[in-house]
Amino acid sequence: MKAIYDAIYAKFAPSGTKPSVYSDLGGRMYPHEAPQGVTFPYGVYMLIGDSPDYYFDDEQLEDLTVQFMLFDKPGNSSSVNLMTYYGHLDALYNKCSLTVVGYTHLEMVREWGYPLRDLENNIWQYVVQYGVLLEL
Amino acid sequence: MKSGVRVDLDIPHLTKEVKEACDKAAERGAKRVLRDAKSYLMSHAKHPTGKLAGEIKLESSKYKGGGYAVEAQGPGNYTRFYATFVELGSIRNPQPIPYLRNSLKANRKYINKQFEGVLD
Repeated sequence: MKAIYDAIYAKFAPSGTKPSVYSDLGGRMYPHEAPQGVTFPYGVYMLIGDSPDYYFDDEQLEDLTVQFMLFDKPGNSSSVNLMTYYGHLDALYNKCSLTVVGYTHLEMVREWGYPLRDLENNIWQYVVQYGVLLEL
Repeated sequence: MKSGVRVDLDIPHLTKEVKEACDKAAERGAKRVLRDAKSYLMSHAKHPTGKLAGEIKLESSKYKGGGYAVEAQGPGNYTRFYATFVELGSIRNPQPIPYLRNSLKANRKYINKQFEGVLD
């Protein structure tokens, strides 16, 4: 399902004007895992589930679960901006229109979001899950 | 001349029967999700010890409508709190192991079938 990764990144980093979340994260959005030592804040996205649904002999739906993780580590003088980044991420992806090569995009909707904090390292994390429906 | 039929329904009894049947259907679905969540976790964890899998529980829901919950995190239980980081991923373990979400999703059709069976 490489096409969904390409579609998500293309939405994040279009060739023209960049969306707010791109500026928030300094363009640092990675598939699966961020590189070692990456600067905060940054984001990671991944496909965590893919269920095909056959509703007619020749028609197939792909029901995908996509997870984003936003990370921030505020310094002593900076505040936690994760909610702002999350808002901008959601504005970009919730109910958006994706261009997925080989598929007709039907919908992308937020299913839930969940904030977490690593107390030892003071790292804030926001996990957000989207359901994506594609038609082959 | 006139004729008619009178049907007396014992609504409270009927409601009780439907509720019990739905509850059993929900329990069958939840047990399947529980089983698959454990199996998913054991087959995807880097170092599967079975500790977390052993702590995934099936609980009766506290909602008025009944039902069941498959839980891997309880308040005040540090070991179970770890379950969230495994499911969602974290800065230390960036690869999530979505054992609850994927086992629920994989069983959606099975669960629906259980309820269809009740209505047949």
